[in-house]
Amino acid sequence: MTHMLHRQGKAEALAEDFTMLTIRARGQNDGSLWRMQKVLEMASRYPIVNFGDIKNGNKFTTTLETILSSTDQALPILHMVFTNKDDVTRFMKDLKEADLGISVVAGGLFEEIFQCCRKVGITAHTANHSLGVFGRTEKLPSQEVLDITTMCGHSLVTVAQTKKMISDVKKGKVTPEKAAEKLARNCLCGIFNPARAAKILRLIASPGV
Amino acid sequence: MRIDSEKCTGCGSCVLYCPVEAIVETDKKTAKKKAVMTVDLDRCVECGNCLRADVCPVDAVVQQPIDWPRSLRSAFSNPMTEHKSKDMGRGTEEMKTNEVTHRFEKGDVGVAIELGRPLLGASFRDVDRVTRAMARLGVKFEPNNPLTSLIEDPSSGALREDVLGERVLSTIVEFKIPEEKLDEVLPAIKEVAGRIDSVFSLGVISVLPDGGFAPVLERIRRLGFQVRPNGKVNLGLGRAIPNDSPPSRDIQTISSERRKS
Repeated sequence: MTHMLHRQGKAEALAEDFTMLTIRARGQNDGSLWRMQKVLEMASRYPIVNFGDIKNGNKFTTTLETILSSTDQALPILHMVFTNKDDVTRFMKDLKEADLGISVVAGGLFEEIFQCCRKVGITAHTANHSLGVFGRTEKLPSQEVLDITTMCGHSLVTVAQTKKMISDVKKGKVTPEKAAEKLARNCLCGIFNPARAAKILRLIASPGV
Repeated sequence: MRIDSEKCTGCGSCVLYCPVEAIVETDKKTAKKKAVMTVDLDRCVECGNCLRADVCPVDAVVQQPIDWPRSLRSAFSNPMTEHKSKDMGRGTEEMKTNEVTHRFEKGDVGVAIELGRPLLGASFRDVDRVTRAMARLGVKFEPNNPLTSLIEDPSSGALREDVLGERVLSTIVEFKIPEEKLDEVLPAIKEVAGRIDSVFSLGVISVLPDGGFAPVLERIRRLGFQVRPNGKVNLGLGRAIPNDSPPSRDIQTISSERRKS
């Protein structure tokens, strides 16, 4: 699954969009749910703007405690979203020191992630690069809509709802933050970045500001 | 998914939650002269988003029983649906656990062609075009990917005839090749992109020899492809831990303490 890959946007916006996930390797550390939960618990000491897993939900539909106390051995992946490189660096340092032995994947600008790794002495192992979108790209919506919707890799943040939120923010019917939260609720695994979405919505509504 | 036309009040709340714009108006009107909504079952990918949104004031959105091959729509589009293999999701662990599994070694490149993404969804007829184009180059499809089980003939890449009429939100054609084979594979991917009625997102996986940028990127750029500045990195922190179990002061204890504080 590549749901963390292919997020779109300009580099300055992506610089405030760090996704992290933790996962067990089938047949290798199947009994390590508690280690995944420990990773999430450690991340929650930082101001993460979203978290979640596909079974329990995200920050806006479940609680951190629900995920941390789950005994469901079938929980596949836990996710968390950071907006600040310094927090990511400190979190990576925590992970290195904790030496939990569980896989962690970081999403974001490669240059930034490699810098974080170097600072704390982590040697990144494998990379997944996006080469972009091919085919009937003329059928896709505007770039600003894509910048928001591609933050849900399962495509469950829809074009129609995003356009409605843009319209409602422009009309002053809802704040950018509340609109971003509404969108974030649909992203089941909690990898959508509502802080970045709110920023995009605010910019669209007040382009000159 | 379907909408109970006897219950529907025509409020249109559900329309916002359909990623493939399959919820449309009918000619039938409610007592308040609003158009009753229906689900275009050909477009609907059974992702379940409209039902989960729980916005219908009269519970008119209902999940109908889904039989084969329509069940594939749900299996590939609804993240809550488990594939027969019990692997949730549409792909594999790919590089996420590579430091433990060594699925990809130095010199290997993982290729993931994610059809339908972003947003448009894709038909298995389009998927069939892509798998055939890749099979012509002799690639071996990833056996643990749920899509691979639908390939009837791995040598030709042909999908099962009975699935070709189905649509999904996305599905991933996944395989591993030696780095130098990209010289054949990437141009073929570009060529087949012109023969499909949707889009795909393209990703490549490679091991980082010294923790920095992958050497394969130079080859990719030489072949005329752009590499986006963002992506994902396996931090190399995992290892095999047979028979693992939580320590005595486990996470649930910690969680309980958090709740109290």
